[in-house]
Amino acid sequence: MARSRTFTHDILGVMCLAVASLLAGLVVNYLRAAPLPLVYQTPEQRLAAELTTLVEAPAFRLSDADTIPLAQLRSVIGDHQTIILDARAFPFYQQGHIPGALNLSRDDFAADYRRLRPTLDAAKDKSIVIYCSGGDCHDSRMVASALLSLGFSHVRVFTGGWSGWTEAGLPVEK
Amino acid sequence: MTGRSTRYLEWMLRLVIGGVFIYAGWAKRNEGIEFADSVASFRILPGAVIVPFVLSIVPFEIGAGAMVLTGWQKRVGALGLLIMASMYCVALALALARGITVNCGCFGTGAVGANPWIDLGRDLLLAAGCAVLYRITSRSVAPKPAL
Repeated sequence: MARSRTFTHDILGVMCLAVASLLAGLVVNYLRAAPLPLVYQTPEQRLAAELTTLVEAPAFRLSDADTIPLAQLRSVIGDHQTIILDARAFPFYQQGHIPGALNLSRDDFAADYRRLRPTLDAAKDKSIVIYCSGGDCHDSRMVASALLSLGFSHVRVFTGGWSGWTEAGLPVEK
Repeated sequence: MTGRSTRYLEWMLRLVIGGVFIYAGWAKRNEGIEFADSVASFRILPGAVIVPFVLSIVPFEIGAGAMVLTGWQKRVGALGLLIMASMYCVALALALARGITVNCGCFGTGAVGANPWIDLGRDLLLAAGCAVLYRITSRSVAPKPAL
């Protein structure tokens, strides 16, 4: 009897803690410089919203971009005919990236695109290769689709991504 | 188990579990959207619940971890963390059973490529630790049987 009363008391305590945590989380989020919208948006929805700040484009759709294997990517590094883009978030890019790669992150696409626009516009006829973490990473395909919808045509995805590059023991840049 | 060894075990569990959950909460404090993506990847919670859940996890883990560590309302803290660790185990097991690739995001989303089996094993250990801790701390308040 006493044990079940203790358990009921503890469960009530946990519920109070959960409610207090939710309220604390909402307040902290409200005070943030960039609060999280209370209704979750998928990465595709967020990228579509970012794209609409750049161009009056049709609704964002995932397109099939060509892929490039590791051996071919190695051969184009430093040839000045190919732009390598890293679609991972900036902290990951900062920790290390493929030599010469520029950071065009999926999550901060519009801001990064504006920053890189002079370089990208000047290289519209060049080949663009995008990578992200690797494996099932979806970000590089999303960024590739966004660039295709912005008028870039020579866009390819390196599906091996950062993990494929580092596992092959290839040089990295920080 | 003697009273002294039970006390040592309780102290050890409080230090480890409290410390682990405070660290886990702290590691996620600036990863709102990334952690929301991790939670969404499990395909368990409806979209309307994901952000409120994500926002409450960090204060909950830090708060419950601090309760366990400091000893103030330690039973409540231990039970809260037991529920949370069990919830993570169920979510990871469901994701593995359905063949969904997930990033646990338990200690921040920086651990890209983390193995979900290792995550599940770690969460099972944590849940077991929380259960033992809750049992020990509950026993200390239970009335002694009459002689």
